Amino acid sequence: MHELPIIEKIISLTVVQARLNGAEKVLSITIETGAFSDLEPQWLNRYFRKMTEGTLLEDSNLIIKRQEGFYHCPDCGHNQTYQGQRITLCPLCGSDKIELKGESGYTLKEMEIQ
Amino acid sequence: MSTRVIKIEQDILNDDKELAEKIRIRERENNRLMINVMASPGAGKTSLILALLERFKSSYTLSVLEGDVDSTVDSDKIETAGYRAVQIQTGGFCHLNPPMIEKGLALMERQENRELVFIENIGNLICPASHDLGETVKIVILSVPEGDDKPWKYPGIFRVADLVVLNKIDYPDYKDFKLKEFSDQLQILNPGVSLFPVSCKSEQGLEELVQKLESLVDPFFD
Repeated sequence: MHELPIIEKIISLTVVQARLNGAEKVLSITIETGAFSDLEPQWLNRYFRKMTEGTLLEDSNLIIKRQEGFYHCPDCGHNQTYQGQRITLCPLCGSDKIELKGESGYTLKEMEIQ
Repeated sequence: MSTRVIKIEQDILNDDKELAEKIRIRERENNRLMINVMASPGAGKTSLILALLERFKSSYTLSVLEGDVDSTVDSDKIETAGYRAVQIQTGGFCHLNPPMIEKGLALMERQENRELVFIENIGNLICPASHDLGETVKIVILSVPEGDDKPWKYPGIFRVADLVVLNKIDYPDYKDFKLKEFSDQLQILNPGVSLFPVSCKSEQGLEELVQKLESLVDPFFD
């Protein structure tokens, strides 16, 4: 459900940019989501297809790139990609100060137009 | 026909974020601060707000913005307790956003004193995390029966909390709740965040929470 207002914003931002750039058609839109964002690609795509019907964006491809989160140890500097694993101590130095880092937002990166 | 790639690099929530910042600055100038209370349904958002209203009533003017998908159940409870409440019905939306807060604030006449507005967000641990409402403090509540593993399952919301309240510590199975593990998870996700174990029912732990909240809001008042 929360994907719907985000899709509305993506469409309105993209339509403005497409018009500014004299596009006849938008071929693809690329967005980047943070590691801790709440957007589900399957629902984004579903809403996107439905809501772009009859617009410049109809049949365009929504490309979703998800950033990775990572564990960071402030004591020894070790970084490790986060893929849902639960770590409470740094695997290198054993520090309990280890932190999980990453973004939670969403960015409209670029679009391909014709 | 030739194709071109147009670089945009724009935050998709930029307009909401700008409005949230505008609200925060304007309301601080008005001596009115907002506290955004987020939790799953049944964790004790309304109970905690009622307990805090009671403890803050001699120091501040108090109001509540009640967010719900439907009904006026919660705003009725607040008004019955003698406080001003504005119900925001989102009509299916799963979180509040800054335009809804603007509408709610417009319905609340500005008072003379230092004013605290509690925002009761929609009950869920997912999307409220992504939406800045112009508040000064974000509280996330978890209740004991929900289990100690929730920060791992819902990292987004625990990462944005300014303070975390563990409610219902009077619950009979509290002994099974691994408080140390819960606290360790919070520190990994949100280093330095404060945790307050409380019971809104028995009133245990509420004084410490009240002191912490005062220390967070008072620097912004005239």
